[in-house]
Amino acid sequence: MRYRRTKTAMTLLAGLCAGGFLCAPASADELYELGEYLAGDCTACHQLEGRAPGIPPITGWPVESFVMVMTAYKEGERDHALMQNVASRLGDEDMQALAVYFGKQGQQE
Amino acid sequence: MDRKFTRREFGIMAGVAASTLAAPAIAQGKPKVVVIGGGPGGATAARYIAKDSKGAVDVTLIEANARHTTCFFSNLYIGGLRSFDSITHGYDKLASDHGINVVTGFATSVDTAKRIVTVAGGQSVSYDKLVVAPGIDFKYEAYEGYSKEVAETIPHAWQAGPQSQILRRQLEAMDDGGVFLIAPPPNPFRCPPGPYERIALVAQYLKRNKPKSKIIAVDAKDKFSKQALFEEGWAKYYDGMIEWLPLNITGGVKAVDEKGMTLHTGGESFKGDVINVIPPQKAGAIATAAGLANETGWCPIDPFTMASTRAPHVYVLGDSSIAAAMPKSGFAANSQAKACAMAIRAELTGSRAFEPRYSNTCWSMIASGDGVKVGASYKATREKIASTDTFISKTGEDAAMRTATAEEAEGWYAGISADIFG
Repeated sequence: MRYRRTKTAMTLLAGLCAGGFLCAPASADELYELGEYLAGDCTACHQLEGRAPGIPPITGWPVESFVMVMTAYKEGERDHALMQNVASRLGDEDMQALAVYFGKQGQQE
Repeated sequence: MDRKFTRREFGIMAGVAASTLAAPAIAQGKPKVVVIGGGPGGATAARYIAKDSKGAVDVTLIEANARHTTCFFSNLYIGGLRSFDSITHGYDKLASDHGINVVTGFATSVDTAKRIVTVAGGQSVSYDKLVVAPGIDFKYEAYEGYSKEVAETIPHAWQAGPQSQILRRQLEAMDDGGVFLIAPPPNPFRCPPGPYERIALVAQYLKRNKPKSKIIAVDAKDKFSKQALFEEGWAKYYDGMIEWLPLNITGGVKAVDEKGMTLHTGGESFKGDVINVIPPQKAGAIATAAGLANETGWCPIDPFTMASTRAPHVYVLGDSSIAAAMPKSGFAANSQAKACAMAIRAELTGSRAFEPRYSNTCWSMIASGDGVKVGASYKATREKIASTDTFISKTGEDAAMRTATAEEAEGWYAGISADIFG
């Protein structure tokens, strides 16, 4: 529901969100940059390089798997209060952006 | 992105958008960002601005100490579960991996009109944008007889480092049957669950090594963060060892007697063999000196960018800021730093800025292998940073869940340390 309302608002704002920030990424570049910003929320715990006990790695996943897992947290199908909270603040585009960003991390250039 | 917009707000936002999307502020030469304070807020901001601008912004980090001991997990050191080295980090990677110019020195003044920071010893550094993240300072004067000097004997250990080492040494030297006296501070203060985690981990140390000892907490509050979880844990692991006294029983600490190793309250006095006084707090000294704090002693900010509302081209992060619903925590400072870094890059280089997202999680250890957590999501509104969704561990959780949370806390420490210090 919230997403649909957002779409309407975004159309009205021609790509501007609250506070005048860009939203509704149109290009692949913008999606990647949104992912790069949002990823900061994840890298407070999940490391881009190396592993830590108790925190699973999230780099190099297929985009679909990443989105599927985050959606499951958002809908309460996966059980972890912190991750459910993280997922609750992500819209569809946010999840896509994160999936694309983390999908490209940890790959050999 | 999920808020409703009114026609009036839209007009206001369109105005903001015009300025946010304006051409880069600096027409020629590399724009310069100076960051004061190398803790979770400042070091993260420096690292993210340098990393994400890919060399387009010149970043200088001014920090008084050559190495930073994190406040988070310092209770594990005090409780004997972690080495001091394992919670202490250098700035070498910020310099080598991201080209950040690290200046070891104490920032003594800021001229916000001329945009110059002066460092002790006389060096001055000019900036286009300044990030101020000095953490907390103490209102020692709130308790008669307490001072920075007395804190060498009766430590606060609320800025990690030598203060934590003093407290650890004193606990190690204390006789079995001694009293550990702790005075948690009034709100608002750094790390709301911290004093109660400290009580738990000191209790664990004493139970294992000096089981006849007692802990008395003379609190400046009537309730505290994760109270049900801590009280459940204290009773489960350290039954009879801990006495927590709320404000309404003692009236709170009024005076500190260093020679007599006694805390005086409005009524009763309490003697301790080791005393830990955590005084009331305010924004770090440089934030106040720069005129960034208001009458509350803390620094008001724009919820979208962490920009100071009191000086142009200046941003305030972490404990010093008034981040409304967000607690004063390392996690929160790290989260704020990323939104701030994005806003600063957008201003200086014209890079894209998205709606900021803020989050926080505070893990606490109740005993080895028994962790709990509380956390929330936040969003910027025009008035403040507001909480949108929260979660907290539950009382009565099974051991497997608590062990998993404790492991997660260890993993978080490794993750956020890498995110802050590289």
